[in-house]
Amino acid sequence: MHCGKFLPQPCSRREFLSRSAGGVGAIALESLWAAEGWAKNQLSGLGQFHHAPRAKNIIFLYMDGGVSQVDSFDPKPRLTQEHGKPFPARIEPTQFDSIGTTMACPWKFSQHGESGIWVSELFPHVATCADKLAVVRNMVSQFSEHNSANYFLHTGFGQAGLPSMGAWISYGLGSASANLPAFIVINGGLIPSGGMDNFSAGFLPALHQGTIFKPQEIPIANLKPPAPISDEQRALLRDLDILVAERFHHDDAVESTISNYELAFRMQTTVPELADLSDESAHTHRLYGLDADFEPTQIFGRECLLARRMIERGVRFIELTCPQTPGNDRWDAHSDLKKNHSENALATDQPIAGLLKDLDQRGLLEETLVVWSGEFGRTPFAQGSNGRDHNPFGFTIWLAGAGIAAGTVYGETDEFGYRAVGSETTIHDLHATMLHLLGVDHTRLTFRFGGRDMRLTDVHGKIVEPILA
Amino acid sequence: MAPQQPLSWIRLTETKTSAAASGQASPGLLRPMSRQVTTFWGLLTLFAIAASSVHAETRQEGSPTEPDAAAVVASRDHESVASAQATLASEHWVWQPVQQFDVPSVSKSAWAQDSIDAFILARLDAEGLTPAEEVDALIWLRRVTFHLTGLPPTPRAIENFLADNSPAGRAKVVSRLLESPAFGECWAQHWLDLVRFAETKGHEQDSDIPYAWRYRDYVIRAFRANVPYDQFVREHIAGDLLPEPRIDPTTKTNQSIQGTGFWHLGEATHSPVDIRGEEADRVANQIDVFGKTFLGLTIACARCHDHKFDAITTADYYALCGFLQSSGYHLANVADPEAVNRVRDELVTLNQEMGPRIFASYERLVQPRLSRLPDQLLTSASQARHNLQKKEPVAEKTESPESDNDLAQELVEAKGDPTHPLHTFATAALNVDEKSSVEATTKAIKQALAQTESYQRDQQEHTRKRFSHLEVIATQKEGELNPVAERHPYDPAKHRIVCFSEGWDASNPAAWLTAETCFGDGPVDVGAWILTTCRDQPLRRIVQHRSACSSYISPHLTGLFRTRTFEVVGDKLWYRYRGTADVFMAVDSHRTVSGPLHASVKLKLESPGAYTWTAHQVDDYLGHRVHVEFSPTGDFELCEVRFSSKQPPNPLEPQSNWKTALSKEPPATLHELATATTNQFGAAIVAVGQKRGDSNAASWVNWLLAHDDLLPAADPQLLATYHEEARLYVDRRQAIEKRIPKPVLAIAMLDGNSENETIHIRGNHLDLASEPTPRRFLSALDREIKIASGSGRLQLAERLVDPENPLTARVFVNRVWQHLFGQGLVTSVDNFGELGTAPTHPELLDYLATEFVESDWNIQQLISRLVLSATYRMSSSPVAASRQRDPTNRWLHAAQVRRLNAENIRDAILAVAGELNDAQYGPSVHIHITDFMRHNRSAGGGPVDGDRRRSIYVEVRRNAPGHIFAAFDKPTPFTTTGRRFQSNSAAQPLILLNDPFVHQQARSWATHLVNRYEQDEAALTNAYLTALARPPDNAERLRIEQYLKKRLGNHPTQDHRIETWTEICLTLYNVKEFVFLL
Repeated sequence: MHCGKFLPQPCSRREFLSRSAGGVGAIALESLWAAEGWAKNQLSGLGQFHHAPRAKNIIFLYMDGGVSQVDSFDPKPRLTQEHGKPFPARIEPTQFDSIGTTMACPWKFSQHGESGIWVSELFPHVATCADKLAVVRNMVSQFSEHNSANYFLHTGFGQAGLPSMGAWISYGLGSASANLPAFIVINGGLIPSGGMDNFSAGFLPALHQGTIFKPQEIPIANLKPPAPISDEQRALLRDLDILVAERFHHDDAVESTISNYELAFRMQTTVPELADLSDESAHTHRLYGLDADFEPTQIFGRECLLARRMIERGVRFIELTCPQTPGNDRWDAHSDLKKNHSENALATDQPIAGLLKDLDQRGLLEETLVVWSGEFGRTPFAQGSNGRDHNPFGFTIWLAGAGIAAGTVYGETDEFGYRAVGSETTIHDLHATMLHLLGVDHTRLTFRFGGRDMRLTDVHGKIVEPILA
Repeated sequence: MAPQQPLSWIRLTETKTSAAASGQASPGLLRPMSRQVTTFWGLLTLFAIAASSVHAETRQEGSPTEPDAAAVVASRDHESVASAQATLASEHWVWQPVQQFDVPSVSKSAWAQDSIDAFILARLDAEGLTPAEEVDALIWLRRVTFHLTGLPPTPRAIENFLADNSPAGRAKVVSRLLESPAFGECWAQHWLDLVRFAETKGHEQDSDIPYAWRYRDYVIRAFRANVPYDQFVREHIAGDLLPEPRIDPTTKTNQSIQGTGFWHLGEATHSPVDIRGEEADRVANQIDVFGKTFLGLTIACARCHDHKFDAITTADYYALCGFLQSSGYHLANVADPEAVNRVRDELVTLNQEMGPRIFASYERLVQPRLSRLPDQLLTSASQARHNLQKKEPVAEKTESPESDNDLAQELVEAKGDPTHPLHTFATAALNVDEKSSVEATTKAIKQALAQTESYQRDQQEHTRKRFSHLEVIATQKEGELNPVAERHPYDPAKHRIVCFSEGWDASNPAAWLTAETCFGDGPVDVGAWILTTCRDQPLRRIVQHRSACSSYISPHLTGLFRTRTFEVVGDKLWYRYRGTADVFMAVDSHRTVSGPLHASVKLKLESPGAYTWTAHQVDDYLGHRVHVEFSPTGDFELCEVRFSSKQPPNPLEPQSNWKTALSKEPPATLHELATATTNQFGAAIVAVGQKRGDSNAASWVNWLLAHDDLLPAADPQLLATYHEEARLYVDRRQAIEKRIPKPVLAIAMLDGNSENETIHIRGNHLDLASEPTPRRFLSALDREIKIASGSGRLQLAERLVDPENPLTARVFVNRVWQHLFGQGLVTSVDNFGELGTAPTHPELLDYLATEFVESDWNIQQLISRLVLSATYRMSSSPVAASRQRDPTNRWLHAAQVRRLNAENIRDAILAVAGELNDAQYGPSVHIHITDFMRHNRSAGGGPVDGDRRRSIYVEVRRNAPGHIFAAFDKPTPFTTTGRRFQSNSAAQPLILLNDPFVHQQARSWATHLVNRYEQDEAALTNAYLTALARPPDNAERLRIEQYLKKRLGNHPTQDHRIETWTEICLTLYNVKEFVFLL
């Protein structure tokens, strides 16, 4: 049951090339080249949607380190009552094994918008977008350590080497941009624990690996040569390649590599243009917080604005990593929760709200899914005196935009915000839902590797229906 | 087989047809996996859904139908399980024995150069296909040079070849290439892809895998030395257990043991909260790599349930896990084992020879001094009394000789220490004074003797009682809230892990598990002499308790002692030892310790003098299986390891032996008592000298050895003689020790005791079957293996390379075929199972496998034969009719155009520029960290040009894959990758056009060309020969000359020429032919 079967009818490689020359460049080249014998099953993408997609693109706001659910979107008055007392429920083993007393949330919660969604003071700007959000409060992960949890969040497996969700989407849907890859990671400074493997193509072809994009003038690697390459030099290369193509009796692999150079040359103009924010209005700059006093806010603001510009240019999957805030290790508030979360929220809150509003104003939110998630949450009891340890047993994420039932809250945790109760939403469920919104059946996006048909959702995953519009 | 049954229902309850029809499994049949099961390795439920149609297709291609699934469901008993497996096994081609096929007769017998060609041609004949024409000689040369060495041919090689491109000339080229170091480097890289070679462990800290590069060097050396493949396989599985390890002639290092390093090249986390779960994942990866690499089987699929498609059961999987549970990681010293053994033997002989002479000389030196000891004891006693009365510090205000004063001090201490040899004397002597009457003195002596005797009796009684009252507390900390302390009476069988005195069973191999040489062949007995290279006193001490002793032969020998694997059943584990050592408790084989969690598995033992007990708090690991390793950091003796809630009693405290010493009346005077005491020392020396010293005698002699300065002065003559003996001994010993090779460390396996793994039901390590599964091979391949002791890996290795095993040779020849022809005869090179592909040329595959085994598994011979075949010489331009008939080139009617792999591209860039550093082996060059790779955890990066070393010598960091390598499809090192992709991404042209490394090399190349050739035309010819192994054709020449002319004008400067040539060189790096082979 391979995806290739969904192609309406077999087309020759040459046809495929000409058909895709204008648009789905990269994936077409890939398929072209790969359509040789053995590789046929291995490299082709989805070909067509399994069902009508609700979303064209995804922006994944990765809250590296794990945001505390009980301090953000999941208010628990019981914690205030029990503050300073021994935690009155069973505690699972924790990463640091330094278990303190029950700890109240230091921020006030209030309800926002027509939906009345509870948001803490940490996120005053996002709070103004409450009616756009679907808050999922019963998330669970399987790992208490960053790396395994990061890999799990990104790839559906707790170890390195498997394809990241962006790579799967690139593989399945290809790029809608002639000049940009399908999967881009805008790196605000914090590549998550576990390194580049979080954005790896795993066993998928390298084409699908996340391209690291920095919010700076030359945003991707090797875009500009150390010494300029003249038009004459390009012409020389082109002419020599024409002769070489002849020598290689127009072998497809060689020819698609030649075409690929054209893409690379095009990127040299389109990517700097994409990264240049000067044509955005002063209003937009302010909306995203580019004029903020706090430098990390400016950085994340640029990331969010870049994400919108990529959406406009057809990038399928954009992941944003957080900027470094001084003295904090990501959202990973093992000590001094108050400083850590205040500063990380300060860095991300306004840009995220800006992004949601801007997308909405431009009508892009209807076709863009925005996901806000860390790899796990944090414990309702203290680590040491004023930190919180990792908690994969119940935490909160939110989604917004295409196909999402705006202004909903789904799922709950116990009275301490420690464990999901009633039902659980797993990372696999999140992945299944993301793919579903993109028009992809997660059980049918497969890739034969190591003796089995691999999936992003492994053998799990159910669509989180209650949050869908 | 019993535990297998409850697991098998998964495969039996789902009918493939229903799953295929609905595209979904019905929920009732596929229960969700446990949440604890976190990895993909074994979770094959997916197959029921996604792969079922593939399966159905496979079936349609001609194999008999599956046994009626519904019927099997009806009776879920062993019989049907077994028969279902047997049917599967009997059906699929891969389990069939390798068959002997006759070389087919073919149409164009002149075309076929080798029997291989006949097999290919016969198939082409049958399909009505015509082989492509023979390729141009230079294209063949470039092809074979890259395929064998990963580098382009040099202009000189081209010239030589053109002088003789006859069959003999070609054979010469192939021999030259096979002999070159580059061959080893190129083919080692293929192998490293299989064993997911990396030098770090990934995850948060990306910790180093120390000395991983030695494994890489081992593989290179093995390919260079043309080690027979069966030997290579044996070394990987059990190189540490081979009776005669293979020694590298250059470095003299043990090569065989280094093969086992591959087991430990996987990823690992540093603080797993679920340590057993992490182990299960690690082991699954090891089994996965093992299965795919050597057998082309996806064995790890059977982690959660019987394999959906292949004849591999869950029991097979856990049977194999047992081999790993019975083994462990070891950073082995692989330095010249022959030299080490020789030196060890010489040291043993020297000690046997010289030890008695030294001891005798010591005895001669000490006995006369002992005869003067009674007087000295009396003087010192008097001094001590004097000091005590004055209540002044003893050392001050005294005119007596220092030794008397020190001895006086010692007596004061002895009085307070009932285990001290001088205790009785001191007690009596310090309770009387010069004025005491004879009666009072006699009374005091009697009292002291009685007191000692009673103490000793009490002590014995007490010890016995303490043993009988010993208990082990196991605190269950479930949920941390209400820990429950369970108390268990002490049970030696369960709680005593190591004890060399009682219960020591020399015939039990699990009781003596050591690595390397320093601990010798068994525990050292009580009364043994420890000799050192101290020139004044080479006799260091006498062993008081039978122990694992690291310095009995020489402290310069390396090694470690490990316990058997046992379950943690108490809060505290106690070690009784003396000396210094590092302790590592491997919990569920976890190694990567960093940070607070699991820091407690490490402990430093430090008691340079006395035997002592140290507790290891292990309550965090109750219920886990562990073993403990002791790595000496100096002189070290280990006596016991046991669980206990409190400090266990000392088994044997030194006892005064008054009963024997006092044959007649009890001493009436202090002098008599002093003499009797001295006699005990004398008797102890005699006993130890005659090698019949017990623990008491040893302790008395040890007191003398440690307090030589308190004894009466030695006779200068005797002392000189003793020192002369010592000098003779020490000189000889040091001369021998100097020859101990410097340690060379490499990753290896170390055998433990026999451990069997228990099936994890549905792959859940928290849900275990009732009985462990005995270790054995795959059930489809005659599984039983007889294992007397240890892991049994050697027997497993023998099964892998047994000619009866149809897989090992087939899988390997197929890999070689793939590297040379672009695709394997079985295209799914790592999976020969049902979901893999069937061989295109089954007869040829079996023919090659048979020939390979018959050639004594000769890898180079196989490669040589294949590249000299007519098949290999075909052009990549197919005959038009054949292309039409077989567009995917399934039947190999033409060669395949192939892109070079990542390492070849980088190496060729360097080689062509004339910059390749041909240094071989050694620690890796750090990976260059670009701005886009760098993050807050990035290690310091290496140079942009990787020191111009070949790519195989560039560090493989899991968290920082080299950007050039990653872009050109070097696989992520997480499992076996026998076939790489050739993908086409924008990152590739961006690198070749813009990367600083490529620009740097283009400039070097241009500089060499301009410096060497005044004429651009000659430079151009050389550039083409170097880069593409051919001269430029006219069109190319004209086009480039046109470019040169335009850029250079008539009188270019040298700099201008270099500038322009840099542009041309960069262009040539980007001409597609640079990265493609015709």
